[in-house]
Amino acid sequence: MNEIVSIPSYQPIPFPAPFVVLEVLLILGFFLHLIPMNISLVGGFVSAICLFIGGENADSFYSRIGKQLAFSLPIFTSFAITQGIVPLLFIQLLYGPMFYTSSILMGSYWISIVLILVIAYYLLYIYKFNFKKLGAFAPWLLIAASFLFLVIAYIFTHNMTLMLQPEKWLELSKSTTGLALSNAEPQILPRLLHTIIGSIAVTGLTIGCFGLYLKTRKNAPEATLEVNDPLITGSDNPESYSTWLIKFGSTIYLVLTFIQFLSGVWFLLSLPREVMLIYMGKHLPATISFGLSFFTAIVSLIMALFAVLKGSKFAFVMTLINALLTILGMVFMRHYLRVVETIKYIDPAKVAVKIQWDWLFIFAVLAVLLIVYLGWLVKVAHNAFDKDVLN
Amino acid sequence: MNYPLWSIPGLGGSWAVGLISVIHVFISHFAVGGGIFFAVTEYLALKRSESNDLTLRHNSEMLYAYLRKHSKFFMMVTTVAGAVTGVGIWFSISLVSPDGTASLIQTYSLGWATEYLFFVAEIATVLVYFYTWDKVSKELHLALAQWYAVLSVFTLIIINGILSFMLTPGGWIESKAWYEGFFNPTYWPSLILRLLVMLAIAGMYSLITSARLKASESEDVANFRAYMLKYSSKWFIPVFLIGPIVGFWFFSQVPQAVITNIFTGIQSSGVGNFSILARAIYLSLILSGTVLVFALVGPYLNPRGFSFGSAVAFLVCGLGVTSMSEWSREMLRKPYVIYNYMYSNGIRKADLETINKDSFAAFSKWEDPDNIGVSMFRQQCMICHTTDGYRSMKKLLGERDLEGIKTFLLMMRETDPEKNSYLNIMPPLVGTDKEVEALAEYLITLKPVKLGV
Repeated sequence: MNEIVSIPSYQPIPFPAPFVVLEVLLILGFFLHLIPMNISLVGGFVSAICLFIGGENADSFYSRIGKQLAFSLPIFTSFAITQGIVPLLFIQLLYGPMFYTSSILMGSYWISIVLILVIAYYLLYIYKFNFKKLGAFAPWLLIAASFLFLVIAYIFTHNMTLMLQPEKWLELSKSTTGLALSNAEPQILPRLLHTIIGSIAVTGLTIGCFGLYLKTRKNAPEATLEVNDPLITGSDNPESYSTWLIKFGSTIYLVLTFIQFLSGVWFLLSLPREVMLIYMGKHLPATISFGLSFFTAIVSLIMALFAVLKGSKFAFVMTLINALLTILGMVFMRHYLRVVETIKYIDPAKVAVKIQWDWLFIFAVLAVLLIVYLGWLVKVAHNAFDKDVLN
Repeated sequence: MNYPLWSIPGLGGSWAVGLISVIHVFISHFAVGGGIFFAVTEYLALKRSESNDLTLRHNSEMLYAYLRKHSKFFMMVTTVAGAVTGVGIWFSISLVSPDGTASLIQTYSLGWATEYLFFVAEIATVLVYFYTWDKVSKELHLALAQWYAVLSVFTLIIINGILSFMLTPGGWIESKAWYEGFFNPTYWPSLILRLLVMLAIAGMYSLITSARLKASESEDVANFRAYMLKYSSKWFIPVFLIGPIVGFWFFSQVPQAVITNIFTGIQSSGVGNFSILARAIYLSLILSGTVLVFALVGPYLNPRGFSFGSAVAFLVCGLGVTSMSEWSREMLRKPYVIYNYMYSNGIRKADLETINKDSFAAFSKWEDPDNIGVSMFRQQCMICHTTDGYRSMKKLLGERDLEGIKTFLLMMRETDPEKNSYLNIMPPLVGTDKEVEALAEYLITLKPVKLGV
């Protein structure tokens, strides 16, 4: 049995808002980070595979979506980074004593994320602005970027796991180089795999959303025109690009979510028994999130099956809504895992609070204004691309 | 100390913070200054496009083409390297100075959350701005540039409060009220100084894009290139005219002890860190002066002779000035991470007495009872020193023997500036006599063994 070090303390400065507000910001912030992060994590792989299937035929649906998805990746990466600020801020605030410690213990890997991220991000732009010049080599850039994002995901998973295991800290703290990793940890691999599979499923939904978007555009009639050419559609049946996207994206979602059930079970079983049991009735909010996300996941699978077979807009939208609810439920489950694993050591709910009302008010007003402003920006961009949505 | 230690062998950890911060500052200042640059230049382009004068209309077309090209460069630099290094600063400070970072975050979480709102709006705007060239009306495109400029200035307005708080926390020390720390004595001079520098940096980056225009293409391009170089160099004027006054204002608001430190450095030039601080400030001033003089004789007076290489040299000088001044700003704060509140090794000033009375072991979470000396060194010294690399302990120990080291360390533990001449530069040592002895015994092992003496 490893000796447990005493856990670092919070600073003697009160929190600026009630705990529950900060907790909600952490959870919602992570949810908003998770979706774009999923797409940039595996989007490079998925688009490269599409490009490989499409091959030389630039008109084929696979080539088109491969290119379009790859072109959107810098934007998703940008969202992932900006949305990552919120969970990074609030995990430091609420769980800092544990989070800072584990980050320091693997400090050299943790800091290397900055460099890896810059390189991966630029690879995506190099693809975007030079894909013609790069020719057949181009998809490999996307694969390289995805691989680098995967390394980042590994480092993150490692840190998020290590921060929950103070029994490992003392041994690791003997070195100051921050180069030691506790790879033997049984949770890390299933947890990472869970993220990767989920990410591919989310990328499938994104592809479906591209189809949904094309269907709503009045100025892109060619997206809804049926094409009767197996070289383009990849099948013997006539198909329009937008319907094909919905079917293709839903297929990815359906298959991967099914696999996710299996990997999810592995992850669940890799958790210590008493932790696993929080989802089985021992902890009410955790059990409710588990039950609800299980239910919405099943609904999303059934709907996805309809979307795959019929390419129907309605079935896809229902898949999308239920999938997002499932993910939100899983983000809550993930949060409760952290709560029960840390409560033995620290309790952010017990830190003194002195509400900064003035600033809280400013923040709330600005948050509303931001949403209005972003809505306007989306409208501007939407109208701007009215004419050439297919490029 | 609350936390374990991360240190790059031979360099320490603070280098990681320095490197990432300098890159970020240089890019983020471009992001804000560049926003104003786009808003102003695109306004000129729009006004000229409505003119009856053919030359002006032609100039407007060239300006639009220029802005389009420059905006790609701008977006690629600010949204990727700028954004990632910004988050990178957080990564690095939380590794090197976790207690300091936690103090800032617990005090200003809502500040950072607000910063995030402006940041999201800023990034989203620059993306829409870049991708909608020729796809929206000229008026709407200009409006996007103007929105961007306003939003990015707000990111500065917020982060400047937190940054300047660390050097001059002002009334916060007593009241712990966020606004007293935020609108602290150096808030306004810092804000104005940074804005002025941002305009100059925007000019520097614009020199790069302008110098890349190929004069050999046609006389027309050559003329426009000369026009843009001269135009870019005008962005240096505000900092040239107002910078020194605001700089003076800034220094008048800094604690007296800091000023004394700089001048001690100047008088005892050649020894210790603070002579380096004085030199860094000198160098920063000389380099800024050089940049301004060269901007005048180069792109302003002689734009046709200005090469791409010279533009890059400007950028390198700019990076040099940024590094020197940011580094000096960090040094000014020594020995604190939050002035008069927390030392750079994470120990709060208010805790000194208790620790000396009880023991460092009772305070530190990571003291190894079998290796007290090593723990003391790690927790109290290694944040700034390495054993034999940067600020080498081996070198600093010099010829001292065990007794000499012990006497020195006991002097370092004094909290009376009369008795401890290092108090302005280094945090006082804390711990019981036994712990100080253990540290001395560890330090003596660092000294190379001299054979045959």
